Amino acid sequence: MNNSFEILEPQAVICQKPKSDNTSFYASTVKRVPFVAASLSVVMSMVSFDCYSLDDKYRPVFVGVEPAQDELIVALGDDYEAQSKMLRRLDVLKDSLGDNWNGEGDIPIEEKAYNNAKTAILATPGAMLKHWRLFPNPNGTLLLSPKNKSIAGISIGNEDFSYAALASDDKQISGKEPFSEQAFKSALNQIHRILGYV
Amino acid sequence: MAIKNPYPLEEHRTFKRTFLQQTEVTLRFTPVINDVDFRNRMLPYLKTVFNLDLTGKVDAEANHAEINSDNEQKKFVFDLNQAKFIIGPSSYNTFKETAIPMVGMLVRFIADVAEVEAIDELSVVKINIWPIKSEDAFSSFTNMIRYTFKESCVSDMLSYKFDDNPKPVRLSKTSDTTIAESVGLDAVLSAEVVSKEKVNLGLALNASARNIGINDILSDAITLNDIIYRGFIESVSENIIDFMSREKLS
Repeated sequence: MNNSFEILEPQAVICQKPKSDNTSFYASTVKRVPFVAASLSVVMSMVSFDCYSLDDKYRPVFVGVEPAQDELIVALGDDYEAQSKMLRRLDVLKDSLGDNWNGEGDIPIEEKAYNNAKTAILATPGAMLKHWRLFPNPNGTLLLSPKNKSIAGISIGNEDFSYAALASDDKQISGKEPFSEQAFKSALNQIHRILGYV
Repeated sequence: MAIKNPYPLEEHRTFKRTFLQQTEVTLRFTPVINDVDFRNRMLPYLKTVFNLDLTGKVDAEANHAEINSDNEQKKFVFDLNQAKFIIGPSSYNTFKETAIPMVGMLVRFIADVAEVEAIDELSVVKINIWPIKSEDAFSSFTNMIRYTFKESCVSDMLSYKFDDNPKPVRLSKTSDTTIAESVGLDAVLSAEVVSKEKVNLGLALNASARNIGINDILSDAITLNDIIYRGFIESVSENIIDFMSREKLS
């Protein structure tokens, strides 16, 4: 695989002008013949040069419409913001909580717990994170707690994470597992099903 | 040649919503058609395939034809050495349903106008754009890149830093992968600050194959689309896959 990385500072895309004098970018003898009955129109013209830069080549031609509907753009932005906000909150907790931060011998956020929580947040779609708030635990680990009145929690530590959710006698789950991205995602999916978030 | 797809055959996931902005299929061939043959052969071709009668209306020097639908986002372009079509987002359903019938119309051009038994290159291009809005696009820029693409694909882009007076910027990253003999997949991942509040993340995938017999064009186009699907899944983050797949938007 050949990779190249290019930074294009903002500037107008300038096509390389052909060296030959008898080339033209625009047709001088265009005939437009509309075919309304067939819902088609045809342009036959004289063109002898295709001007393509890499930018042009992969720019959509149907630019009359937004890349997606407004509803989609708003929802995608919300998804992104939910994840972004929780990551910012995690960083604030990590940076701001010192020794004894709650006056009861609490310890700052532990490095490994922080990294595990970051992995968990990055692996979780914003639509799921919207249901949760992030809190520090006095022992330097992190806690995800539902925003609504659901009974559930996920505690992310240095090596393990533990979780519990209770919706009714026959709809509950709890456990403690070594932390991994997959294990976290699996537990979170189960919790969301139990709490009726999906 | 008929392309052998080295990737395991898998059924394409059906997404609930898509950010596909453009689909393009191009057939390039030699020898180049001469101008006179092009004009003479295009007339019956357009009549047969598009039901368009241009008798007496063709420019005497025409060597290029574009056919645009008035009510759909579909466009055909015919030149002396290539034929292609472009489909916009509102007219695209699935590749087999929307694009393959149009590939068939290009194949007819190859047989009736180019009059060749094989083409030099067949390429399928799909362009996706994810527009993400945020209160401060500059400070969120790299997070948005990480949010949209698999981190392994964009780790170098994530090192980009704005200075104290940030200006709109466009980062792009290209990769070309040899899939099999005469078959390749080019990818362009891009991230562009469009305004203070908006970033466009883009992924253009171009799967192409060389030396294709006319009878293999349809099936090879489907295989190239399969290769693009695989490239898409390998480039885009789980966040985006989840967003496109889930039942409800919020």
